Amino acid sequence: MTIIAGVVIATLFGTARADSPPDPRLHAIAQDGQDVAITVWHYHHTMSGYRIDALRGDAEPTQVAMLDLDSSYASPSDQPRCSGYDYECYEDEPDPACFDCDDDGFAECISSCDTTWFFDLTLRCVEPGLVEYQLVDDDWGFDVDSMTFEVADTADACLSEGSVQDEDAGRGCSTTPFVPRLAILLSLAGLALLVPSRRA
Amino acid sequence: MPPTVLLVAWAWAFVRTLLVEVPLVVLLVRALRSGTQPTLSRAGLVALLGSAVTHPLLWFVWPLVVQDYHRYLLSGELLVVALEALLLWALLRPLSLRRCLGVSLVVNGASMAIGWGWNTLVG
Repeated sequence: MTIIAGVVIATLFGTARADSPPDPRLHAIAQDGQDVAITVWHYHHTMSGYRIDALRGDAEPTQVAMLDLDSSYASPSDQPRCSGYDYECYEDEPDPACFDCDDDGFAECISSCDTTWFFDLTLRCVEPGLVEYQLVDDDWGFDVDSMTFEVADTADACLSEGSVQDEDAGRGCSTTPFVPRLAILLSLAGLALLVPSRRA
Repeated sequence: MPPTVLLVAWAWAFVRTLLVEVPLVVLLVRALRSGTQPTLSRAGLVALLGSAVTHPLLWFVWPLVVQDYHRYLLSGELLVVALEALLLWALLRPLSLRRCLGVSLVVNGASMAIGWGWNTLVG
């Protein structure tokens, strides 16, 4: 009975996995100054319910971006892409839409290949070091993909104190020393205008 | 950042801004005015109005115009200072434009410094 149940569950799981749309994946990570650019690809032109966590050493993972993005953030792939599960096309169900995504001589798709969508986000002012970026299903709490990236110390303009923000945050690196410097400059300029005027 | 989270963050920052800027404008106007004009309650209301106009502009509109963070912050704060100075000058006669610009610079500098300190210490 247990074996039968196991087979049934495995079959159902396998079937569901094969027929289900592929999960989103981390596509690429690159560094620009102290910013880290992450590209996620997805089978749909909007994304919701996913987040990116950063893991450094033994520390607890930290959420660095929430991926609730509309189509304005999406750019289509040049050509239809496959799920990346590395399934080969069934010989008895040839699918002319299949593409050999990883150039290993076999097409990877089981059902069809669709246009996939790339979502770019930027993590600003990232501290140097080895970081494991995890793409996490926010509803279920498990990571669907991860990629390790070495963030180099470029000594670039962003004088970070560890703040990590996604580009949607608008105000960016809130802890950069640039802010107090600007605040002091504004205040001094204001006082310079006020003090002589009081004498007058 | 999800829109709701951004909205909550903005609302909290806006309240902090009001708590700093409104009393500071009132104090500075009281020190700078000659006689009883403009009234302090009017100064407080104008400060409130100024922040209500410029704060959402800085948070939600200006990031779409200027992408680079440092340029965004510098140009955005200068724009806020200029707009609030003009508003003070227009509605708090007979304060001169020079004094209004001075008040706006001091108030926004203080607001930035306190906001930065809060973010650094409290998170």
